[in-house]
Amino acid sequence: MAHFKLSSFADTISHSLADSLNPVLVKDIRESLRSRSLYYCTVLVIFLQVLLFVLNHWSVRDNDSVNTILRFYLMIYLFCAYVPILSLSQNWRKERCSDALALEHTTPLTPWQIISGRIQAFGVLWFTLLVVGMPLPAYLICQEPVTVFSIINSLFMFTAIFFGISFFVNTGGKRTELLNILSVFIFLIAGSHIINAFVSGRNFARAYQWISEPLIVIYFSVLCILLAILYGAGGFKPIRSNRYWIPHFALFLAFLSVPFALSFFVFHSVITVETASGWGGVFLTIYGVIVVSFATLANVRITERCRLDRPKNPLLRIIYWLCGPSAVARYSFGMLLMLAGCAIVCYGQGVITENGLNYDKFNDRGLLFLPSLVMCAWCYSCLTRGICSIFRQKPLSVLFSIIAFTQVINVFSSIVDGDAKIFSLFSPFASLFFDAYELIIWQGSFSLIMSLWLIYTLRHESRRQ
Amino acid sequence: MNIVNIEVCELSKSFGDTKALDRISFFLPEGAIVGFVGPNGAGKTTAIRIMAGLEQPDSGKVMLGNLNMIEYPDQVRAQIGFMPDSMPDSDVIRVWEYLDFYARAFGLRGQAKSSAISRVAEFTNLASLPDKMLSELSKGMKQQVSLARVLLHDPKILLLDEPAAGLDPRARIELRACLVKLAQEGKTIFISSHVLSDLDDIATGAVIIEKGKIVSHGKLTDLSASAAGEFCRIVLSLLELNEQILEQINGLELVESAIKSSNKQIMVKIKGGTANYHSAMVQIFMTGLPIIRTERPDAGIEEIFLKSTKGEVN
Repeated sequence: MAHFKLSSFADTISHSLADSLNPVLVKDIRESLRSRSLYYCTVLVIFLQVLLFVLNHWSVRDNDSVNTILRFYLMIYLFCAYVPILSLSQNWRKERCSDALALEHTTPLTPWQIISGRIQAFGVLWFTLLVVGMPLPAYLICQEPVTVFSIINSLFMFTAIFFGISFFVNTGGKRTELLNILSVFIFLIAGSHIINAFVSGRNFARAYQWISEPLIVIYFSVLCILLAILYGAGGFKPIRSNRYWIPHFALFLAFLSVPFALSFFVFHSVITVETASGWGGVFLTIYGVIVVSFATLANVRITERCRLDRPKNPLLRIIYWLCGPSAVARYSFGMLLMLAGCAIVCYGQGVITENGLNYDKFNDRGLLFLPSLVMCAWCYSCLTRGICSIFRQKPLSVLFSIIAFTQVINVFSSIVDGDAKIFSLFSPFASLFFDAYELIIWQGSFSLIMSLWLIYTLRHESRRQ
Repeated sequence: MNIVNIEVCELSKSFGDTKALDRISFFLPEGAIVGFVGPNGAGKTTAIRIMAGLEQPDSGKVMLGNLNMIEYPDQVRAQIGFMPDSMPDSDVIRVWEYLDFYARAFGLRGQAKSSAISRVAEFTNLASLPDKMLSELSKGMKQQVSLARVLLHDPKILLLDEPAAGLDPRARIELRACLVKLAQEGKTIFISSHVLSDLDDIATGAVIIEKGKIVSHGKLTDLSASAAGEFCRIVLSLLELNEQILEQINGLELVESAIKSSNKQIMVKIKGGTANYHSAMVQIFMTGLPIIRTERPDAGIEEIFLKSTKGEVN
């Protein structure tokens, strides 16, 4: 009875709170909390937090690395801002297409209430993600000569500018996905200048200077060509959605927290490069295996949810997951293979050996490499599925995953300190590591491989369906 | 209850060079169920959307009582419920959340909101569906949810755009029953539909539109009488019916056509309309056929529509 009373009281409070808020805000928050994009964004934020926590303990060789860490830290907030924007613009587009927006106008709600409700929803979601991502900034603020206000102001400025550009560009047409690519492009080209004009803080002005504009132009040109090929190759197919994200997220948190708790209480230290040698390194590898196992299980669960045909034998099912018809599996597996191939190429070049990615020596970076690959694959898998839930269109989701993934690759390029060329390919400092001719060869080769891979995947997918 | 009539006066709307509505005018009395029929592209949806306040006309006005709906849309929204031909789909929103949103959008809070949702859920048989996602519902269920949404704020006027589109026969019957109940409560229902037989049983009036112009409107009985003037028909019930009898009736001088309408019934169309009715009946009885009953049915909406639009259905 007491429980019933408490529950009724809580219900009354929550209903009263909801009643006092803008109906559009409550609706958008409800829809967003049930969408997978928020879950994947949160996973990404936590993942990058962990990664940056590891990075931050690494002895920094020069001042540039400080900015490197800062800019990656800011990247998280780009994701934080980007996901609600995508969700909102997707909602907006869906409502406009399905007449739901028109129905809202048949109610006594004013246009201002309808618009402000959405902006408030964005604010709430962004703030939530900001809070989730707060531990690292707090830590960085303690470490680096940056004021709290300059960080907070810049973040708001950063988000506001991106938000503004995205919404402005989205008024130009109905193809939200293409317009969002365009808005990212405009933001990357113009955003840093706008921020530099407003923010005179040394750290933030420098933090955005890493963006190499010619590289962005090349990158987006390739993207546009790929997109054109994809349009021509097979059109778009919808991807099934899955809204049962809460158990997945809980499992992920459990898998994430257990190894870290063990590291604190058993090894009495946090996982850093210094403690990653010896037993720490073994532990880190086991942790990576656990994470990838979880990723496998999660994928199998999602495949089950999608009610695709699958073998009953668990072993066959895992093989089926790796090589089967699941788009996620194929993209993840394909990316994993690509990474492995790249690592072999790098190893063959002797570059990695010279820079410590040598398992025989059992040194710090070597130990980080394998878990990094594992986490990289996991991250890509999360990204693909997250973005799939936003666009529901495979080729476009894959392209967006690649955009996001290259940012993750950036993080890994800093793990190997920019010396392993394949990781540095996407680095903003690429021009420092390659001469112009070599850069074109690398970029061109990579684009070709990526195009072939995507076209192959798409054709295979079309044939299957 | 205040008497609320709707009057559409000289409404015009163009999209580019296409004239969707050309000075249309009609009147909807309170408590009536009026069918709005016309071929595809006739301008039905445009007219309904203007009446719901979603489109602005180029000229003309829509009066709700003494209030101009186009000039004061905010004041009249609370009295109007608009149901489009399809309901928005979503795989992240439940039925009760959907209704909850619209209830709050119409300013209902706390107990008033809860009782409004319960009331419409009971009326539209949604009591077992509150936790279903919208995307999990069938077309018929979606229309029920849509109707429930329309009724949340207890509007006096319902504007329904193709509510029966895509529904199976059972769902159509249920929808018809709901509409009749609503009309009995004194609501004015303006219903656009292609399924003319659905309107036959429930409509008390009709507005027929073609190429953006009103070709006929009024009470169904008046329209029916007018249509019957030309389309004079008789239904003959016989003790037995065979091909010979059919041929015999078809051979009569004043009979335009005679077709078998059921096992023992013939539908006879008289040449020259009502003027020849009596002469034709004399001719029929003179044949000595075993006729046990004669009936002269009213023209239905379908016939009125065909007559008014001259069969030009696109």
